[in-house]
Amino acid sequence: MKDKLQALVSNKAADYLEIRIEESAVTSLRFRGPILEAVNTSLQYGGCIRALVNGGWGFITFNDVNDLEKKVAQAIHQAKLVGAAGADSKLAPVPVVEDVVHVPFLEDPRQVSLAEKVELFDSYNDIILSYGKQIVSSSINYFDKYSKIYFANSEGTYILQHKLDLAGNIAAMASDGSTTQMGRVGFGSSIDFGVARNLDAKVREACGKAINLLAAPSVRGGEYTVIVDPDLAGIFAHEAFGHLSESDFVYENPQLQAVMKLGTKFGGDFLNIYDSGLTAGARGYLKYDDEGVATEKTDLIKEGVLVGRLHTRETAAKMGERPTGNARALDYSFAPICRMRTTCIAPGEASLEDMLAGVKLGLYAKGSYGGETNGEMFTFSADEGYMIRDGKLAELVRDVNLTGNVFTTLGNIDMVGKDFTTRESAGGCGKGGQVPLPTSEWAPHMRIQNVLIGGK
Amino acid sequence: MKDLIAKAKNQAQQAELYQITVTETPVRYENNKLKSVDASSRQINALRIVKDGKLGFATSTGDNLHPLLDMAMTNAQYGRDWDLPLPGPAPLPQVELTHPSTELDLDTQVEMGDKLVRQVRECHPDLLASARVSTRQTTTRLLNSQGFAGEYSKRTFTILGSIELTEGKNFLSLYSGYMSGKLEDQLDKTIADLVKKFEHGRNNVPVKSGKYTVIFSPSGLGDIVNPLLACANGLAVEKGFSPWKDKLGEKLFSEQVSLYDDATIPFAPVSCLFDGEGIPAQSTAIIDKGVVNSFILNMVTAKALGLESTGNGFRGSNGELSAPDNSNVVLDIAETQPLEEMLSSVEQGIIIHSLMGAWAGNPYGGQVNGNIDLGFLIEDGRIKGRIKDCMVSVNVFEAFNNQILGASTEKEWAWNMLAPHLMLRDIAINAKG
Repeated sequence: MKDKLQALVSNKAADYLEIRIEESAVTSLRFRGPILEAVNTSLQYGGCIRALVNGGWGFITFNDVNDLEKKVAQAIHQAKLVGAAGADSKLAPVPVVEDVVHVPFLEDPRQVSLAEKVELFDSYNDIILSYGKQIVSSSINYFDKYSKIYFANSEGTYILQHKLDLAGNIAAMASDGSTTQMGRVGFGSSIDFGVARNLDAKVREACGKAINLLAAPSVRGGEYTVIVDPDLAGIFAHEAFGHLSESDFVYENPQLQAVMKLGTKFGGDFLNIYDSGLTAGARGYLKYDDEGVATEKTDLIKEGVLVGRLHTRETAAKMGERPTGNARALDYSFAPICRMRTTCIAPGEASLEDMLAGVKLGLYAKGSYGGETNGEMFTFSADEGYMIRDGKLAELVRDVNLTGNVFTTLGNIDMVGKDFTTRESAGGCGKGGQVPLPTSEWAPHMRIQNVLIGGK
Repeated sequence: MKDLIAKAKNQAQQAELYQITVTETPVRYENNKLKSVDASSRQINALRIVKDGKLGFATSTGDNLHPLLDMAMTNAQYGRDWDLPLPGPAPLPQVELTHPSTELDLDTQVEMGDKLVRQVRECHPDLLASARVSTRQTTTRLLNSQGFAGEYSKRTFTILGSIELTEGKNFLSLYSGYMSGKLEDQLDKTIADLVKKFEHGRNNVPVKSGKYTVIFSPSGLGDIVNPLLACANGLAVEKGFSPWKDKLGEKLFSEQVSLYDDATIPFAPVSCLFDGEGIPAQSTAIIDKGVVNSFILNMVTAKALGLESTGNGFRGSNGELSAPDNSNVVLDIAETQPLEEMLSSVEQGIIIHSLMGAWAGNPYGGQVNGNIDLGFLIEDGRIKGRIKDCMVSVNVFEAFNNQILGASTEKEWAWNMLAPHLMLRDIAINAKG
């Protein structure tokens, strides 16, 4: 494979050429209620070629890996068309790499038989469906994807990466006839099927949560002091700040560059945010990105000050900064774009008691349903919330949807917890039509002032 | 394909091969410049078999058909019980899918993107315009052991334009676009829509928390209609978590409201001749004059509920087993008035074009809470400016029952939904401060 790919990218008609070939096998299971609705095995094979000519990109993706010379020529032809229209893309220099990367397995899901997987998830399904009469249904999804990704570029880099991504979601649905509520357990890993095991207690807890939510009122809309649990703090790091750190948003926008100038103070001295590719085991773990650049731990906010951002080779070149290994593609059918890996809020010093103290009326929001940002504003939903009254946790509430302005909210964080928690979920990040990309978000508890909550 | 079905029939009682090939050529403008010309071609194969009353399934890409049968046979050991005959040959509806106008060469696509970027840039020297102009050719084939052999091709044209303007910490991000099997004036409409939204969004105006008359434009309505579609989905009904599970025939909404799923609309984005299981494309009234009339069903959910499939067994982008999903969605409101008239009737209200994060709630509860990503304050019938940092909160079940104030005569496509502007009363807005 190496010689073949290196010969292909040596075509001199392009200023830069890269080829990526991906071979994946996916196993997935889906329970809905008592029925194992889908057991699927999927073999995926395909590739892509990206050419840069006179600052213009041509990109081509395919399943049919025959006639690759012709495809290289087509990518170059497309790139020329773009280059001639005055495009000015260029790439920051990076070291030439030759490497083969293996998965440091704890437990390889390919060594676990389909029968054993079915039995395991069936046992969780039994727990849910026998929990009580208010539980009306269940929903369990699991997949594992093992990929071999070959990458070669015209600068001499050649990398073969073996990758594992596995994740699942186990949900209990409770209903009282007029409303349906859900409790969920998520898991994920890039090295270990073991994360899917021993979840009985958590599954029971999710059942109880779904039932309790049935009787809970919707939260009253308004502005509150909000304590977010590590799940939500992680989503906060991702939605409320991480996306703004992606340099493709900034690199051709001088007005935004002025706002996002390195050295600008965004939060308190206790606020530290970073994004790392080195988090072995996390779904956001990767040794090299999809431009063949070694990943790293990239500090974004240190002691409240903006110190870095996430780059592809192109955004780094344009901004005169260093590539950080954040160019990622969902799979062979997409060109790499600037994406997060594992985004973290570093631990602070507060305990949950410290955070509750002094809050007259507030909200403790737990568990993440997902979030979204438009760059300036962000929103995310919690699984559940508890009102805080006079410094104490009070009644359960539901339909908790938080929103805020990225710039003011970072400054409104007034406490960061010491209970840094690693967390993996079955969700993924979406951007530019590439969804779901495996990312991870790790954080401690956090307290934020003046958060807007939707509701009547 | 035929060989595989023949081979599968020797080992299993029923077999079905679904194959889709897609070629697409997007031209992308980013930040005022032509950025990339792309080309993609892919083929997905999916084999479904029934072996000893159990379902087996597997998928592959490209011409890699060979391993599918063994994989599907292995999976059938654990597959769900299946006692349904796959559909045999049936007359397919005549649906116009592709108009010759969507056959565009690369140069034309580049020119169209260029025109969009050039024209919207005239709004402001500092704005960043992006565009994507694409044509997508899809061929879908379905073959099964019961004698169904269907194939259709369609070509859709997509235009998507966006504007970003950053002024200090104030961001204005706007989107507009269409997908269709027929190229008409979508380019000019996209440009005009972006320009109009830009003009309205240039000034921010304060908004106070309270109850407002709110107009949802077709692009803003998606999140509001979503809980209705979720409740009508056959899977949610079959599994018992849809609150409509025993409500067929009941009037839950205002008799002004009708909601259709229709895969037979000429040139519409998701029109087809048959669904992912070989059931002919059809039109289904989900809500008929306020009454819950039909669920959205594929074969297996229909069987479980003792009903007929509505031809909504669609496949995922990787050929996954069919699940009930919507094709094109049409919202009809009985009493309408021209949009201009409706807008000018509003003394104080809000028009919402786009919500953020509203999808993240629990659709079966009907409660939609979303950040107003793009919304404008209306006073005395005129748009005053953009409102920000605020949330809208709608109980969709109540809204479609007794909060409708009006709808526009004009309907617009917002991706796969054709809808009017919808005006609702007493909608809760929560704002900062």
